[in-house]
Amino acid sequence: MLSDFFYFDFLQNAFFSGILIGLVCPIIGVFLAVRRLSLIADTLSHVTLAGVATGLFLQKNFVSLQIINPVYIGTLFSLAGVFLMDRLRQVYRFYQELALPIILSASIGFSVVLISLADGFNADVFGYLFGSLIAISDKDLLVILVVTVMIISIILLLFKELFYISFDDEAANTSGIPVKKLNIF
Amino acid sequence: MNTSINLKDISFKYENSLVLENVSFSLQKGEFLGLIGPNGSGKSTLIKIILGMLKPTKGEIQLFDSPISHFNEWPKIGYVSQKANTFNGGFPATVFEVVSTGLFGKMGLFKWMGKQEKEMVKHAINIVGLSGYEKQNIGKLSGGQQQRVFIARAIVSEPELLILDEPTVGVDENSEMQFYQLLEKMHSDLKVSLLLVTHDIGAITSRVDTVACLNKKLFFHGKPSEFEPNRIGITDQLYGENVHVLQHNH
Repeated sequence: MLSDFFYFDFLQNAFFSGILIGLVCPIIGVFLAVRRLSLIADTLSHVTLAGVATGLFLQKNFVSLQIINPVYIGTLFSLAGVFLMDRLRQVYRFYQELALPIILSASIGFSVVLISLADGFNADVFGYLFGSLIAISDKDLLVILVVTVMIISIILLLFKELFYISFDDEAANTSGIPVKKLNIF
Repeated sequence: MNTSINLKDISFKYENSLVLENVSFSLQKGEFLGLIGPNGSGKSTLIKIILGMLKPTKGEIQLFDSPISHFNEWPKIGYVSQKANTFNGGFPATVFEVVSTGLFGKMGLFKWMGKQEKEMVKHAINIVGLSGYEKQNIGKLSGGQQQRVFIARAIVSEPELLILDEPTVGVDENSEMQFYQLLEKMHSDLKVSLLLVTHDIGAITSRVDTVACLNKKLFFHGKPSEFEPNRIGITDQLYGENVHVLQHNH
């Protein structure tokens, strides 16, 4: 069993990427949990689904757009979702958690419409969304490693600001901390 | 550089409802001003405007003689909000950590707390009488103690102006008395300018340098010695005809 681990690269990649993701997720998650934003990951994954569905829809219907990678469209949608979420949290200042279900349900609705319009996709849209741990390549592992190092470094550098915003964003704002910029970050 | 706050003709509307109408007053350096008014009179809105959280519909604000749009010395201002003691009590932070946050704006981004900053935090905790509680989780303290933690957070950066928005709400009589003593000490020893928003007319008129009465408009702005002879008339205007102000000793 152990010899298989050293023999097969895909097992090593799965193991190390699992460790890296397991390390970085709680570091981000602890700030989200205390701010009652635990559902943000679920929401953004549904926004990404809408982006991937859009990418696949464009690929299927427009020959010139076949070079577009649906994963990048999903990433762009996810970034747009973050900005929209921040805007909605300002609008619903006293019920900030409302922003999450609004974006989540709108995204899943949009995805379903696109999937229906395309009469389904040849590619498995859920395969794009969730992927597979054992399909992680050396290149993917390197990307995960770089992203992990970046996230941990940024959190260490901005720890005190993130701590303050998580505890009391109003006071953080009045003390001159760039709360809006850090919220989007 | 003698004025901490200067408000000129401030008006503010929430949708179509006028909350503040042509409010003008100034707070001189080292002055202790008590702002009183009934619920919904626009006191907290005015504070938010002073702190730049809301933009007035009309009027000009100057902080330390700079227009608010150009003002960037926010660490000079300490703020204790009305909801300070309604924070998430389950938040895993110690008294030391919460008071430290008051220094973060002054320190700037990408900087860690050094020995000097830690000493400043300990000093602020000592001023509010909470030495020995540094490692205590804030959620486990009483309402009065939590309020003192928030005051320590507001004063740790040695602000020149301290704004307190109904800080004694939900605090027992004893803690309230200690709180007023602490304010007097800061006013006399540290020469901090103070803006205290409160309902407690009886308690503040004996302590402040200036009283301001607000109910959408500014009804009165002057010394307590000018306020006292006209107290009944002013409070009638502020609260309505049948309000009687009770005197108490703390």
